[in-house]
Amino acid sequence: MNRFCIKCPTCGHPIPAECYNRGEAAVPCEVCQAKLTIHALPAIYRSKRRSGAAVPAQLDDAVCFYHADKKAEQVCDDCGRFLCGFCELPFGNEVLCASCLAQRRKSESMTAFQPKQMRYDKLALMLAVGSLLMMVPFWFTVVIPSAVALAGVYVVIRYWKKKPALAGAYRSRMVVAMLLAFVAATCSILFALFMFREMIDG
Amino acid sequence: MDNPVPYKKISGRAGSAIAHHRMWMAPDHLLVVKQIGCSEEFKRFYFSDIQAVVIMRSPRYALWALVLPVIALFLIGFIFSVDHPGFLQGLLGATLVFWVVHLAKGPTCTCWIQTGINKEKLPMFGRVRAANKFWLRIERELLEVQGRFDLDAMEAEGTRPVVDPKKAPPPVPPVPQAEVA
Repeated sequence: MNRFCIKCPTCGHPIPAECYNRGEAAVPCEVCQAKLTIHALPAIYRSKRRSGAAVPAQLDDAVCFYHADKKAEQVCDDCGRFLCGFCELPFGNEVLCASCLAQRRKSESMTAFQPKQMRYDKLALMLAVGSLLMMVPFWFTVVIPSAVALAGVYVVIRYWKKKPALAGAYRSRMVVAMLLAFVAATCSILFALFMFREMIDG
Repeated sequence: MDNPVPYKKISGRAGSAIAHHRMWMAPDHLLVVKQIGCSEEFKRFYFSDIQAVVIMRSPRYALWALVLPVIALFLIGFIFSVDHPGFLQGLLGATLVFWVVHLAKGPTCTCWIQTGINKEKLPMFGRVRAANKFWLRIERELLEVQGRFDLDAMEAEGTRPVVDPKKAPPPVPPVPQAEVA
């Protein structure tokens, strides 16, 4: 059996390579009969150098920045340090060292390396809608809905310019959140004033 | 500040309003965005690392194609046995609409993308038609980066015996030459 065979996602049985790349046709797994369409690519069998395959340095060789006994085989595209087979980290078309990669992941401007991001437009919208909804159970107090609405306004002002990547309609969401937060705060205050007047009159 | 990566939308949202998945395509990778509440998590799959796209037909299609008409039949029975069937008629209409939409969307599936280290489920492609469309959209880019899949090369590489250097026998020490008198 070929050791690169793709395994059935249900039972783990290896699917023979003859069943790959048959267009849209589905092939049943021999064991669980799950119908599978497999689009295989050469990356399955192409041997990639595994980490730990660094070559020991000879007398005339340039050595790795991090491992003085290993031969330098790549240069970090960011900092230019020499790297051995242990330390090179291929990232798309670039080769990076671990410290540059960590730096890029931390950097807010490097959107291509961010592992996660916060959607402040949605947070502001949630706070604004939440403040409106809170007016129902907390009608007797002005503080809680107003505080939540003001938190929404704060988020809008604070993060207005920090538009994250892949955030379509960021500004329009912010505007809607701001309007809703103002409506919630105004309604809450007006209702409190009305109740106060009722209390004094009655 | 780096240049923003030009992403193309590959799929719409899949999941609930609070937690959902989307997929985008950059010139050299696919980006799966998992959104939970206000936080987004990214997973990038570089074209050179993708080993396979696996689509598995699921029985959900047949199940709902059978269950929804049964529910509709029950509702019809209830409609004739109550005095004010307005709500039940609405429910029947909604059930039939769901059924027709379900049938029109085609068979359901579960889709995975496989790399050397993981197999990531792609919940945004829940229908075979959508999964096939996804494959057609990325196929050209993947072939440009990796080339064509060669069955013979895979057989040759995959059936070649692998020698683990840790399990290999130790090298034979050199034998000292006997001095000739």
